[in-house]
This record gives sequence, C-alpha cells and structure tokens, in this order.
Amino acid sequence: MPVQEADKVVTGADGTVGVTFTDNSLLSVGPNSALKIDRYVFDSTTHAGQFDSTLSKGTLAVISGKMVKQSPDAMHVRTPSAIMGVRGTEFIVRVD
Amino acid sequence: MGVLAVAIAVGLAFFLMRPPHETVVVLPGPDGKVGTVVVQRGDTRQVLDQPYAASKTGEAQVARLSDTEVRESFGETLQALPARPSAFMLHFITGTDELTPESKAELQNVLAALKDRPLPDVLVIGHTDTVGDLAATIASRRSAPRRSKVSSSTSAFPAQRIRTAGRGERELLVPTADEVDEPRNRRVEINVR
Repeated sequence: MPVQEADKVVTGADGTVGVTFTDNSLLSVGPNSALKIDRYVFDSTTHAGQFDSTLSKGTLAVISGKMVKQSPDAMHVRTPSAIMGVRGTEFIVRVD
Repeated sequence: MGVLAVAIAVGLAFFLMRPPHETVVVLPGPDGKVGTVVVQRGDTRQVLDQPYAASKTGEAQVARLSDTEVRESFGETLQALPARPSAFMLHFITGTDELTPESKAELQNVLAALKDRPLPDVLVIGHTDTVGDLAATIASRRSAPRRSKVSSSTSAFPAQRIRTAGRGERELLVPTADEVDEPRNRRVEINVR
C-alpha cells in the first residue's frame, strides 16, 4: 500500500507497520502509535529532498536514506516536546 | 474525606497534565557505525552520537541505554522495520546494451533477491562516466535504453513496481577528472527493496 505526504499511519494495540521510502529510508511504527508524514519530497537524480514526520504517540524506528546522505538537514522528526535533526543514522523514538 | 477527594483530584490533574515522557535513542548500524541525531527540546539541545546514547524528557544529561533495555522497549518496533535494500551493479559491453558475462550472472542474483521479499520494489539507476558537457542530459539519454533493457530482463515482475533514475556522473565508481572515458563508471545499479 503506498504511503504519501500528508498520510497518517495509526496502529492498534497489536499492530506494527514497516514502510520503505523511495530514497531507501526505512521506518517502522510499533503498537498504539500515530505517525504523520508532514512532508516527503525526493529527487532521484540529485538526491535532494525533505522528509518531515511527527510522532504524536507510540514508538518509531528510523533508518535514514539517500537524502540524508546528500544533505544532513533533509530529515526531521517531531514529537510533542522535541524536534530531531537526523544526520544519517538509525534511531528509535518513544512518546508515552 | 474531603481532603482525600481533593488529594485524588490534584493527583489526577497532575497525572493528566504531565508532559509526555519521550525517549530518543541512537543505534549502531550493522557495521557498528553510529550517526548523529540532534534533539532540540525547548532551549535544550542534545547531540546523540554514541551507540545507545539516549535523550529523555526532563533529563539534562544524555543517558546511555543497554542493548537489553532497547530490546525490551523497542523490540517489536525494530522487528517491524523492512529489510534493508540490497544493491547490485551491472556493467555493459562498451558501446552496446549487452550485459557483460559477469553482469548476466549478477542479474540472476537480482532475481533471487526479488523472490526473498514479500513486496519487492526495484529501482534501476543509470550512472555514466565524465565524458560529455551536459552530463546529466547525455547520461540519461545514454543510459535510458540500458535501464529499459534491465527492466525487461525482470519481465516477470510488475512494471509499476520498477522505477528508474539517472544519476549522471554524480556517483563515480572510479573517481576521474572531467572528460575521462572510464567503462567502470558506465554502469547500472539496481536496488531491490
């Protein structure tokens, strides 16, 4: 199932979702989670892009992709209290 | 009795109004390398660049979690991550859209990788050497038939799940000066994901 900009991924108590993006970014959300894709653009020729998402509750795992390799400021994850800038890495986030 | 009710009410209000508890943890990659996540929370800025470095709401110091703690708290989520994309490199016999013998063998590995994934998606990327002025234009013109050739080789695979891209001379396999004819740089990369 395609996931696009402005989509929201919501899981129930026993649900998890994994998503592969066109720049090879990998995301997964755990049970009882809500993640919104605020902005996703990626140019497959230049690798320029912007990837912003918001985790309002639950858990998120991220492996960043090609756009972060190209420009370290391309990816941000927001939570109710923080904003994360991603400089090419794997990380996990929990909002209780 | 009244005092108890008030105490419960205050406790409940405090519970409901408490700021969300948040944790961010940086993990080492499969090669052990760690990237960086910068966490900005109000005026506080924490840089996480060590394995299992963790930023938590209400804690000024960067904490360090254990692998076990991460697994307990995030195991299910980490399990849900899609498999990492795999990359394959194909080379052509110079001046043709015919794959080299080695690359014909490699193409079989691509097809095998497709079978390993529940919902595979293919990205075919054309790369060129530094010959030509408007590299990007020429690159896409030159590599387009090759890309379509590779796409048709995976004919059993639904076309709408194959994407193509042209990178021109942005990712040279063998770094060269401009205007250098280098066959190793003229290649097609395939990402199966």
